[in-house]
Formats: sequence, C-alpha cells, structure tokens
Amino acid sequence: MTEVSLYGNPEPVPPASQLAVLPFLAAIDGYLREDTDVPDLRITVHRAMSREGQGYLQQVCAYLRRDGGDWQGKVGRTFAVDTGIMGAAYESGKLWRTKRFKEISELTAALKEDNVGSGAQSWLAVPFLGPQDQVVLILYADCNQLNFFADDARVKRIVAMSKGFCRLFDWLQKDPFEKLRNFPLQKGDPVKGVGGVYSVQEAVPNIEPPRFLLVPSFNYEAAAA
Amino acid sequence: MICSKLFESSAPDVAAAAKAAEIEKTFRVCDGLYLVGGMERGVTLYNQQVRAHNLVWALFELDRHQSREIGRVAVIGGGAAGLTVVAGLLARYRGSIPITLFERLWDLCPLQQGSDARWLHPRIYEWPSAGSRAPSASLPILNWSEGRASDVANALVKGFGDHCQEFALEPGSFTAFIGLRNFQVRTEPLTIDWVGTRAERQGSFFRRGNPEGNSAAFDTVIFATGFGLERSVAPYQTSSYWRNEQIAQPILNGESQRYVVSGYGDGALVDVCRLTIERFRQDTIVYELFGDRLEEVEQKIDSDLKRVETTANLFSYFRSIEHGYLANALSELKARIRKDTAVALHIRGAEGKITSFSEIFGPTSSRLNRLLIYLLHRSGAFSTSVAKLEECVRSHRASPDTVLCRHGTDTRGHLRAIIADCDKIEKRLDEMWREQAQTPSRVWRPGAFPISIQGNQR
Repeated sequence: MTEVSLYGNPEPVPPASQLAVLPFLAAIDGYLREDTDVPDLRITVHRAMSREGQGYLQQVCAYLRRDGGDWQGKVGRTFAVDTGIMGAAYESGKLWRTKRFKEISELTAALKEDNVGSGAQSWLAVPFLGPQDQVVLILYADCNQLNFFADDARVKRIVAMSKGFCRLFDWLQKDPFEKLRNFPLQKGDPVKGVGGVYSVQEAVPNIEPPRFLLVPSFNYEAAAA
Repeated sequence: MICSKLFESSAPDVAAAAKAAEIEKTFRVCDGLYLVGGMERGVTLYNQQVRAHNLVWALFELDRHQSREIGRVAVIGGGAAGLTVVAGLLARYRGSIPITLFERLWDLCPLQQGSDARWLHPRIYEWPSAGSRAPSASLPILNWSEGRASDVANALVKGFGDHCQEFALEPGSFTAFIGLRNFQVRTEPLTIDWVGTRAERQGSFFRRGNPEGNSAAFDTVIFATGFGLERSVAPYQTSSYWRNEQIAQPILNGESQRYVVSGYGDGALVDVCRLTIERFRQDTIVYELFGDRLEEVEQKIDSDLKRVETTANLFSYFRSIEHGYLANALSELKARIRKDTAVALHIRGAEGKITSFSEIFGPTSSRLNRLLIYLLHRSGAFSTSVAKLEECVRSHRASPDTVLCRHGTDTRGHLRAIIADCDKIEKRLDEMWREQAQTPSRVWRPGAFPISIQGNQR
C-alpha cells in the first residue's frame, strides 16, 4: 500500500461515464422523494480507478440534488481508497450507513467523539461488486433527515434498483453499442490515506450488495465516429 | 513575491520533492533550460502533453519546496506541448509568475490546424496495453478525445484560450509572440532575442497585435518545439505529415497509381496502411480485424510482450502467432487490400543499414503499426526495397510526385538554428538521446492541477 496525501483538484471523467450513471441516480432521487421532500438529499457515484498502477476512488458525476447537479470541483475528485464511509464500503465490500440515533444531539455527540465533522445527519454507501468481488462503483447518498438511511426497507429498495442497473450494464458489456463502450481500467495498488471508519457508522450485513457479473471496471467513453 | 502566497498553507512533502527533483533532471539541458521530449523516441502528441504535465508538476514542487525558484518563464513552441506547459503553469501559479510564449508561425498548434486527413488518438500507439483504445486523453490540462487532427487542434487551442481567460488574470502574467522573424536563445546567460508579433487574446482565441522586438533574460526557458521540421529528400517534394492530401481516397480516373513510401517509422507505416487498406481508419482497424476476439487477442499479445524487452524485434513473434491469434485478422485484411495502388516500401534507412524486411520490426514504430505492416506484407499488399531511393523509385516505375519520404525530423538541426551557443549543450543532448529518461507516464499525483471552469467536466 502506498501512503500519500492527495491533492484536491479533479481529474477528468469521460462525459459518457457521467451520463451512464446520472439517469439512474435521478430515478433513485425520484423514489426517495416519493412521499415527501428529503432535506438536502444528494446522491452521487464513485468508481474504483487506477492511474499508472495506483488505485483510487474517483467521483464519477455531480452530486444530484433536487435543484440539479452540484458539479464544480466535485466531478473527478480522487480519494484514497479508505476515505470515510466509502473507504469502509470499498474495503469490506459491504453496505455501510449511519447508525440509528434517538435524536440529533446523540449523533452530534458521537461525531464529536470521533473527531469528525459532518454537514449531514444520515448517509449511505452501497458498493457495486465486480465478477472477482472487487468494488467497481460506490453509490453515496446523504441528507439532513435523521435516520433516513437507517430504514432497511428503503435501503433494500435502493439495492433492488442497483441490481437492475448491474443487469443492464452486464448486458451492455456483452453486447456494446458500436461507438459507446466500457474501456477497461487497469487494477491499481490501492492508495491509502487517513482512513475513516467512524463509530457513527455501521456495516449492513443483512443486505447483499449489488453485483456485476461481467463489468470489471467502469469507464464508458464515446468514440468519435 | 506573489507566488509565495500560494505556498503558505502547503505542508512540505519530502517524497514529492524528491520525485520532482528526479523528474526535473530528466528535462534539464543546462541551468534553467529544459527540453520537452525533443530527444525522446516516444513521439506522440499525447506523450508530449504528459511530459509537459510532468515538467510543470516537477518545477512547481521544486519551487514550493524552495529548491528552485521558477522566476520568469519563456516557453518556446506553441504546439500541444508548449500550450500544455503554459496552461499548466498558469493554472498552478494562478497567473502569479510572468510567462512568455514564442511561436515561430502565425497561429497556435499550427501543424495540426486544418489537418483533416490525419487521425489522432491519445494512446493507440500503446496498444495492446489495457486502456490503450480509450478515446479520451483524460488529462487535467488541455484534455481531448480522439478525432481528426484538426478537431484535436481546435480543442487544444480553445482549451488554451479558456485557461488564459481564467488563470492569466494578473497583468503581465502571460504574453505571446507569434510570427517570429528573428529568434535566438543563449544559454549563458539565459537570454532570448526576438522580433515577432504580439498575440492579443480575444475571448478564447488570439488575434494579431503589433510587431515588437526585444531582448530579455529569463530564469526558466522551456523548449517545447516538438521535433522540428521533417527532413526533405531532393528531388521529392513530400508534404509535411500533417498537410492534407488524398492518398487514402480511391483514385477516380480508374487507373492504378504506383507509390513509393520511404522510411519505417510510424509516419511511413501509417501511409502504407492508408495506401493499401480500403476504408482504413486508425481508430477502428483493430475492431474490424479482430472482431469479438479483440480483448482475448490483446491480452495474449500484451502478456507475451511484457516478457520481452521493449526494444525487441517483433517479426519472429508475429510469425509465431500468425496461424493462431492472427489468422482471422490476416484473412480480414486480405479482403480489404486496395486494388488501385501499387506500393513499394523503401526501408534502406538514412545510413543504408537495413538489409531485410524483418529488420524494421524493432522499436522504431508502434507495436500496432508493426503488426499491421506484418499482416499487410503477408497479404502481399506492398513490395519492399533496400536499394538506394532513386533506384527503388526507378524500378518501381513511380513518378517523383508519388514518392513519400517519411524520414523523421531533424531535431538537432532545429535546436542549432535557434540556440546561438548550442555547442555548449551538445554533450547533454547526446546524453538525453542515449538515456531516453523522460517518461511518458504520469508522475504527478491525481488532483495536482486546477482545471478550468470550462473544462469542469461538463
């Protein structure tokens, strides 16, 4: 494992890869807001990517919010593979989320104990596994509604939608569009940072993560002609 | 100094500083003078851009760690590498250091502008490595995707203008001179004399300003002049590789045309492909030849070639897999040989050392082009000659205007013409040629370059 402190600027993500995940996020956003609006809900996807033999997590697209996308400086950011809740999902291959708290003050106190700050009250990371159990994508969502993602039924529905997403891209992997393909990313030596499994978070072992049967990495690009 | 503000909040990073020092050394010709790629063999636009990123990253890190102050910068050459160096420095320093760009011709990216017949792909020459077919360069500075050279030039020039608009905000932070009539560099002390025309930015592009001559000292001079002009061979009037011509198009008068292509680098081999393969396109040829087995073939060749030296001659390797992994490709290619051309490939070389076809399968061209030439030869698509060029032309009964000389560029001559005291650096240039130390891999850490708002992923 290589240990480095990472810089904060984005690296490019092909627009086709962004477009491949955004409609899916929009559908999840629509589902999550079905009954009532969810304060500050935002959703995005990260991918496992490698560069010159080193592995990182990279934000694939904007944070999708009610009012559109939060793009600037966000798309393409790279992170050490053990960063925050995504790092927990990456390293364990399991779903992770914030635990259930009786009230907001309990969460705030726990965060203080962990010495971490958060602008959200509930968050979730769903890893999408590949054919060799490697993490290909991680869906990340957060909002300011306490215990929003502590609801198993809600998380199961998100995972069910994610499984449909995996089936679609397995099919496209086998039978791609002629000019729109998933160009493989090499496996990299995971770059570690400061870590981030906090006491406010828990794994969700009773819900199986979605899984690609054929997609080893996620890098959709459009060819010119 | 304004730029010191940039470093106030950044913590020292010993590993980055050491790596930066190592990288900077590979570009350094003498104190303050750097050369991007000129003495390297990996000649692609993408590789040059990666080297430009690497150099900018290294210079910034050395400055940040107070090992070497970058000071006043001159960048020589307004092609892809030069523009990437300037845009990278502007983004990294946010316009807090003075940068002057010099371009001999009247526009930026002049070679590729309007070049509709040449295809540029960022990494296809790394084929069959994983990811080499991906269309995007995925570079933080002046990113582009495969396309006609003219499209890529457009993307680079527009992206450069956007960078200037966003980052060159400090007065005097960026100046450009084009249409140079006089240009001379001295290495001791590091000075430049020039007479040229100031380029004035208007939105994303530049217009012609007033003529101006001057002489100035610089702390950092970066040669990004590419590889210089192609060597011409009298009496043949071969156009530059980047000029539009019609050799890839079917001949309309119904006759067959005889061609001689002289050389065995990528320029020559691509022209042989265009002259001998119907509907040839660099971006689609591997899909067309290998079909559903493409990834399997790529993995096989990639893993085999990882076991041999990068300098290995691949002729016998291709022969060993011809009846297995290459069988379908050979059959596909045989069905696509042009009927309206007769091509001779002249491979004697400048020093007349080549004596047989199998000798050109060394590292003087990309693996993909070597493979295509192997398959084309097995398809009987061209003949070869190691005779003197005039003899080859005569025996092939080609007319002088159908002789294409692709003998590479005269980089050293180009540098001698620009650098007044070039004799002082000749030894170092020899060393750079021998060492081939400027890696075309990315050494900067992800996130090292601020990207422009226009390039902000939408």
